[in-house]
Amino acid sequence: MEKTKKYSYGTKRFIQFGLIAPLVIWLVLFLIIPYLNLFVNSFWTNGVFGVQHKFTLENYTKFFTSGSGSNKPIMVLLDTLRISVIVMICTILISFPLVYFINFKVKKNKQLFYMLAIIPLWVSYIMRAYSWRIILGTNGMLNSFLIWSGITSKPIDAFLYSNGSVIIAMVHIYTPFVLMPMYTAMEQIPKNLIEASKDLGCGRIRTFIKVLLPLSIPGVLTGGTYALALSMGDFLAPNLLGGPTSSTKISNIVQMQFGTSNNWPYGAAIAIIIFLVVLMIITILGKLEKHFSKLEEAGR
Amino acid sequence: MSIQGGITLRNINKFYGKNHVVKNLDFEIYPGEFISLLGPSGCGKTTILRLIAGLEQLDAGEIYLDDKRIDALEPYKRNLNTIFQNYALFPHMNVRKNIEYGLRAKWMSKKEIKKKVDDIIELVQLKGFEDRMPNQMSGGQRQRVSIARAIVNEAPVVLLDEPLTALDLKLRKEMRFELRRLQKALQTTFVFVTHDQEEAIVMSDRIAVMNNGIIEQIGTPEEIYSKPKSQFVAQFIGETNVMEGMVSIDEKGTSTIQMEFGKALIDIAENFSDGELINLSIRPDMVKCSKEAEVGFEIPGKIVEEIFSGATTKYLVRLMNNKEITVSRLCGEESMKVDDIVYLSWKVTDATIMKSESQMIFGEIEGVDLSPWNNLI
Repeated sequence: MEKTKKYSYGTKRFIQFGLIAPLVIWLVLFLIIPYLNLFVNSFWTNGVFGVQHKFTLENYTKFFTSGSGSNKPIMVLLDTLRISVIVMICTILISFPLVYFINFKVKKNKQLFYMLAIIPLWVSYIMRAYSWRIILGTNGMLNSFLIWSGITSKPIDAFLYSNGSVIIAMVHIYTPFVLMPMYTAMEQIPKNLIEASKDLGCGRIRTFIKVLLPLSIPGVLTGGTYALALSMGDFLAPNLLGGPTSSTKISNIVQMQFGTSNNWPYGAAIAIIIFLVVLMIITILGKLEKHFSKLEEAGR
Repeated sequence: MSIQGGITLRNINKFYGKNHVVKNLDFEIYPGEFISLLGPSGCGKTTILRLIAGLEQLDAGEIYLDDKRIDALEPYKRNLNTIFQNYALFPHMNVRKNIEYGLRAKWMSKKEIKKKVDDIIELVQLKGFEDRMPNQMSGGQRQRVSIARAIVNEAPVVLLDEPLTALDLKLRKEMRFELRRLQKALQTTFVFVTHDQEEAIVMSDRIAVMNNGIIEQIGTPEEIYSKPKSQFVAQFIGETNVMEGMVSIDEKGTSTIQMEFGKALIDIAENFSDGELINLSIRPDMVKCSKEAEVGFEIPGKIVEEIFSGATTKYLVRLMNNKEITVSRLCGEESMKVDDIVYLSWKVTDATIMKSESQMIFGEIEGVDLSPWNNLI
């Protein structure tokens, strides 16, 4: 056989398939099959002796009807969404000035500053969440400081075990995830657009509002999506830092169904609902981001 | 009303780290002229433009726009506009929004802005494109938008940073004339940075040829082309042949240059003393080829190559020391062919003579011995 012979169409396809096969297998095994399993499970009936393979929509109706007041799962979902949006906004508000500073004000060692900003990622999630217990706890650093400085005489319990502490921890944990895509996006804004704006008679503030801000939107949206999706699914931070009334986020309810409550079909139904809500939000944000970045590409 | 837009640069200096990129420059840009800063990349021409625009800070010196000192002002406070190399159009704004950007910063009335923008759109022939986004336009159209965006502000000075390099050759040639026409119509000072000598020659009132952070020569295109003051200018603008030799003045006062491969008459108006080392530069189209040596010239050579290049034909003539001289002829002007032996000469005033920068010394040449040459052929 000639060595220089080109691969036949079939061989070529085979090689191409071989290259993407690991990815496909991974996705099927660990993403698609589990989700399908979850989806199917959400329609089974939960009995005294375990799951009965009998079709029902009860799990879904239960989600919207059970409980009362703020204990209603639907209310918990909305509350979780509210907290996640707050986390998203806070992470964006923290990341944006930082990214702006690194990108436009730092002349040397940009990479160093960038690394410093994302170093928290090197610490494990549990450690970062736990460290807030140490800081905000009754005998924690914050209270010790307040007593030492004489601002209060008794430690304040309110810092920990509240929505506030959950938000603080989540913002801390998810800021690097927001920062990274934002940095990449802002780095790609051509510097000569800013020069052009100044050249045309616009000062710093006007240039920022008219040019820099609109062009940063894709990065902000991508980063925000990360923060939102991640904090929607977070059940550890509420567990560790949330109070008796506020510790229950929607993910905690799901966790409970698979654990102590032992109602897998119901848990699966809630998980599917969360999945759909988050998917919807991500799709909207993604559409927006695409719209804005399409404009941006054109300028180059 | 006197024309505005004169720029005076006083001993300006700029360093990038240890690199001295603009070296103590001192020159003037006249109101209403089209001046080109021409030079190879890295010569400091773009830096000068950016210094005038305020996008870079001076390390020393002063810049004046008319009578106002501007070197310490922020770019948005300087009454001039820049056309950027890659257009730098705002991607999130349509053509109209891009063009009116500068006017809006001046808080002009909506009606006035609309009128001005409409006029300028007409002028740069973009009617019907007002609502297009930059990504929906071709390179040439984007270029027009960036020109419109700069000139709509009616600043007395417009700075152009190699605005044509991104266009293809045909469009580039069209835009040259368009820019020139625009500049004449507006009577605005245009400061044009380019590395393309042809562009500079075609468009400019004056050219400043730059090299290594200094201006080698500043003058009209004709002056620069026909009377280059340095070897660099001679070689950078158009094609030229540079020959090295020693001045020799005989008892009758006739000056000649003695070279390795022969001798040539030089203009006695040039003040050089006997024995001085000089460089002589002569354009290919100024060199004459004849069958017999002309009076005062003894430069024999053999035509080794004929290169057809459109309107002209170039010949490479190999001299006795194997140096090659380029001679160009309009097509059909003279019949010369490869392997012909010719004698080169030229009008003494056509040659440019400069002090030699090299320290090469060679012995005196008594006449020219053709024997080695004969052996070669």
